[in-house]
Amino acid sequence: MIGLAPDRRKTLDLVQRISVAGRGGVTAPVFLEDVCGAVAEAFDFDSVAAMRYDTEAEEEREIAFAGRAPADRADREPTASVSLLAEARETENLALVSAGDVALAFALPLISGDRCLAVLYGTRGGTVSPPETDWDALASVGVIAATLLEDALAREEMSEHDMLKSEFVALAAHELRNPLSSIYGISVTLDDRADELADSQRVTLLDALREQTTRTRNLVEQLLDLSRLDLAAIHISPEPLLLRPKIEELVRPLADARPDAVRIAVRSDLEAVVDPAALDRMLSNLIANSLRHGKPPVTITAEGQDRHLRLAVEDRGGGVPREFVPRLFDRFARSSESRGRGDGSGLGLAIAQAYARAHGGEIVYEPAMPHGARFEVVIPLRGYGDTQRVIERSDPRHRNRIH
Amino acid sequence: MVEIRVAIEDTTTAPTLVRRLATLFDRAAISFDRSHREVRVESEWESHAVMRVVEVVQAWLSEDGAESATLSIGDRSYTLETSTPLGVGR
Repeated sequence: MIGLAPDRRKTLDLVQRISVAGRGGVTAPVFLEDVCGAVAEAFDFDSVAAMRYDTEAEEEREIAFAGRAPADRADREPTASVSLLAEARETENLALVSAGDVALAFALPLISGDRCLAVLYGTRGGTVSPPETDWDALASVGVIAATLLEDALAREEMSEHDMLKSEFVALAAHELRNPLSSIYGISVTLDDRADELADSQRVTLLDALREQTTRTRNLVEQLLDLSRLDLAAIHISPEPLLLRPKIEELVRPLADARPDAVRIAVRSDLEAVVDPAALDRMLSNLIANSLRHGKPPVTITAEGQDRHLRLAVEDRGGGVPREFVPRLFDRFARSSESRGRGDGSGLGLAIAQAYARAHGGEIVYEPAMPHGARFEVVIPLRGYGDTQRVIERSDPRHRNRIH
Repeated sequence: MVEIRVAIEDTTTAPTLVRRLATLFDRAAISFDRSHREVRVESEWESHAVMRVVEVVQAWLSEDGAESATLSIGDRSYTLETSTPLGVGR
């Protein structure tokens, strides 16, 4: 048996402890808390925290912590040194704060591939004499912890995806059940009691049957649409398109009963390179949504700006209730008012958004002025073969083409 | 509770150090003892307080023109000079 030097033994024990912590499908915060505890103990730091940079809030967030801290730690302000964390992220290497020969703090980035998954941040006080720190050992621990952390994050992502899928199937089944129950009930009534029914009753039932069948068919089409989008089975093929005739074509069946309800404020010579099918799905869902939930006039505008095509659908209704805005594009999301009326499946905006994203863009909502709802489709302009470019031609026929 | 003492050479520079420290610590936790030429910081959480004071003193040395300062915590002392790096990458 080969004897190991005490330092080497300590490092191997630490590596083993971290490897064990990563087993058994633990979540990232639980794993990191174990890593923080192990590192604090092995390297004699008072506390070690795991920090992640929140790109939306543009600030460091503590996601795990181990060590000594005041009792009221929950109320304290963030403790980590922003400059030290920034240095570790930038250099992708261990960064230290020292006073003389003593390291008082370290920041160790946990890097996997080209991503910094988190930064371990440790501090110690100055009243005791700390042992000499084996920085190479700490760096090795960082590599192992990063690998295991990536596994934990991938597991979390997968589990979230599974959860969303199950939720989607449950909601889809629930939404299909209502019209199918009506169809079944009407069919049974017509079959069993046809002789007892007056003509007017039969007509009413047949109308309801048609309405519910149409609703079911639309819902199934929407579900198939989403399923194809989820599988990335829809290919976006941009091609030059004169926008106004295309929009007029889309509006015609939607505003059939109320021809004056929709105004198209788009120049007749405005041309863009977009996928016609995606444009159809995005606009028809937005227009149908405005006609159903808003109030006329519904106005459609389009312009090319900042290398993006901006298509807006605006109505003069009451707008989207503020509390519902964060869930506006969620699948099966319906405001309480809409749910009460029993109209719409709550999939239209989700589908429109999915098409916009497949096109590399986004649909954004904002309240219209002075009142109403305004949905804007913003998609990057493309040239043929997916190459982004702006083509300026002297030929006046092409002056308004947007790429 | 820990008391961190920062001994400075030139007492005229003390107010700028106190102001810098006051951005991170409660003003009541900071004091200046002119007779001992020391700025003192009291804090509940030793390791973080030490780290923060070191950072503040380093910034103060490099930006406000002071030459050196000595940090004392309990019976341990650290001398910080203008050239001492704040973060030492490895």
